[in-house]
Amino acid sequence: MKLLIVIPAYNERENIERVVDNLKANCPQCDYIVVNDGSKDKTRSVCREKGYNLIDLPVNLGLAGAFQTGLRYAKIKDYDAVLQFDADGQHLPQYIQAMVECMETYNSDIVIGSRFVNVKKPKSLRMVGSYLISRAMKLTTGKKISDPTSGMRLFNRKMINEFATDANFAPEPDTISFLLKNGATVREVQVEMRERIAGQSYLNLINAAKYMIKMGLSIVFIQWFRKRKEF
Amino acid sequence: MSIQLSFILIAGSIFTFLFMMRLIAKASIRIEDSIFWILFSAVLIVLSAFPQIAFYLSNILKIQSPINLVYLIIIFILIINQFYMTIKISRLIIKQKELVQRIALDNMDRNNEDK
Repeated sequence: MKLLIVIPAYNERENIERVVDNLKANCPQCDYIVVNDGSKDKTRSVCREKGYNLIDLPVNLGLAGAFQTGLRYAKIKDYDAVLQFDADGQHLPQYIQAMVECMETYNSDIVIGSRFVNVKKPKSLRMVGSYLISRAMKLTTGKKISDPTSGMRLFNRKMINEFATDANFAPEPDTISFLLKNGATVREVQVEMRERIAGQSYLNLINAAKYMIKMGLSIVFIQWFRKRKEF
Repeated sequence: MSIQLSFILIAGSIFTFLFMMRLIAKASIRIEDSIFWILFSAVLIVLSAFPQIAFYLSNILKIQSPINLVYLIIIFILIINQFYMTIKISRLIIKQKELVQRIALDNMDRNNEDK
């Protein structure tokens, strides 16, 4: 299986070097591409200096737009699968192989690198959102996704085509929910995640509330009106 | 607040909502942009279905007629939306300008190399 790892990066100057070098060391046979999402810091020049494979967006598009750029690249270059991989050091390359094997064995459309397959989800304030989204997805699709907000996701060729063209396919739980409802198969593989190495997460209280309102409405409500597709 | 007016508000909200959903089905609008209109229709529906809310609030705020409060709420929400739209459009124009300039500068480099 020809795999492309897409690493959207926005203002990740302090992390990107460690993340990509770690990825290269642990997964030397994998192709990767960094999508610099119009960063205001030196992310771009760091990538150039180190000679990383880079798509450099001239303006900021947001995570969905940056990731979609990677998928369009994957489509042009005819890749079989794309892995969404964070540039902040949360995701560990040691688990990529397990996710790829899972996709090959079960022929699933999406494989999520989940923190909570064998490990119990902690009952903390940070996980409230995760619990709510899990419940909403169970309610509307009947399927259990233990870690819906995990950003480590593997998509097969069918999904690449969908994501590369549709305006409303952001790499977010509401899209996973919509795809589940339309018959796409989703599996989870236990992975470990780290705290981000350096820099600020954009997830403050207001952004978290906005995110929850959007995800809640989108999963519980809007999905019913989207055009159905068969997978 | 009259029954007739409540009816118009509810009908208007439902129409707005269905229109947004049609746009989403056709994938010609982003989900995040539809959320304002969904919440807005929800507020109007709640206000028309439970006019007691308008009566209660207009009493507190010393507004003579509850319908004035309903208008006030609608105008207020729309002004806030207008404000955010101005910011968004402004950002879009700046981005678009940067893009056009970037493309032109890149092309210039290439053309000069050809010579």
